[in-house]
Amino acid sequence: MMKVLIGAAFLVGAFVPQLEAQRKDPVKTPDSKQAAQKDAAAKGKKEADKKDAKPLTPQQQYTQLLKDHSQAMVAQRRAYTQAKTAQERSKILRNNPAKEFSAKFLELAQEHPETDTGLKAMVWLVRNGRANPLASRSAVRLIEKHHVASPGIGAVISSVGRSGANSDSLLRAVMEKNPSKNVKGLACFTLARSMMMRNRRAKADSPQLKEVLALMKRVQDEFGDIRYGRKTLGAYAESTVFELTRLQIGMDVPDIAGNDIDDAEFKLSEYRGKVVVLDFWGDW
Amino acid sequence: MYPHERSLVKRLANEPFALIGVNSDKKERVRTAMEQNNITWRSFWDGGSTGGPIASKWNVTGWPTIYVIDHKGKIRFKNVRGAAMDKAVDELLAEIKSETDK
Repeated sequence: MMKVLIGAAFLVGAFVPQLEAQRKDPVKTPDSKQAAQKDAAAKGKKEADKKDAKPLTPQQQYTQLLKDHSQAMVAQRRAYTQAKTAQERSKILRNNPAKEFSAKFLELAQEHPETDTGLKAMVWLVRNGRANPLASRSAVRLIEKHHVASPGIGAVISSVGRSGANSDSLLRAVMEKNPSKNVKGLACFTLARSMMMRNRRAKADSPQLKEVLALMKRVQDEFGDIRYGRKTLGAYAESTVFELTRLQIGMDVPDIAGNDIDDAEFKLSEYRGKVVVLDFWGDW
Repeated sequence: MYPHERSLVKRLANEPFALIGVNSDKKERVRTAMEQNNITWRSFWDGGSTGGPIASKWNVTGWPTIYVIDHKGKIRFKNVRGAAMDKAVDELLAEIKSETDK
């Protein structure tokens, strides 16, 4: 059941931008002939410009890459809707344009590692890490080397956390060196959550989970009021602290008081004296 | 899941055993699911979403999540499924028997 849920979330994530692209499409191509002429004119102009044009600045290169990438995505979406068979469609989906573009973004990042533009390219690589995990890992290393104190890395911390143990040292460095309280807090929480996910089956007194608990307590003490999604970092940290300190094997189960499906109140403790299987479930 | 849980509940109908759910569905959905799958055990209704108060407090991020609790109210097993769940429950039922036999 868990697999199904994750699969569904992935599909929703993958399709939302594409659906948006489809919605915008009809507006974009009112008259294909006119558009083609305009394209040709623009191309001619571009070629004329090339002769005496200065080389693009790193920022311009970055903007151009973004533009090219989003065009490639629109083209992919179009090919997908026009595909005749399921086989064709899955082939198109496998051919993620981000794969090809990650090499270009990485090149830009490596050429200008210390600049804001370089950081933007690194952030792009981390966010599109699923398309090219190797390039994403290189980007994490570059961020660690050049940008642990940049305020701009707050935007990418959550994505960094998804690359597992590979990102631990970056997150630790950000926690130490970034001057922004928000960024520090996010790094502390993300490191703790990433370690928790990797060590869910470990014992609560293992060194890994002891560190998770210490980090989450630090989140509660120092960064609890920072907004995160619809809640605060403190609220999320509280759940993990509760799991680690109250829900381990051998501990007395905390009571649950609530209503059943027919609105009748009851408590878990009413079943003391019996063996209880407590099953968090959903029909999906 | 349903067939296994149904047979567990049926097999242990006369034992000191209870299966208690914490359900994350919308009310209509869980009603239909209970009818169609002949679900007889009781569930806390957690507000109609996976972000409900009980699941949030218990840090549940994957479904199903299972806790097996002994007759004294101690957590003894987590996330056992299928045959492993049966074995865990039988083991804890045997503990009750051996205590009352003394």
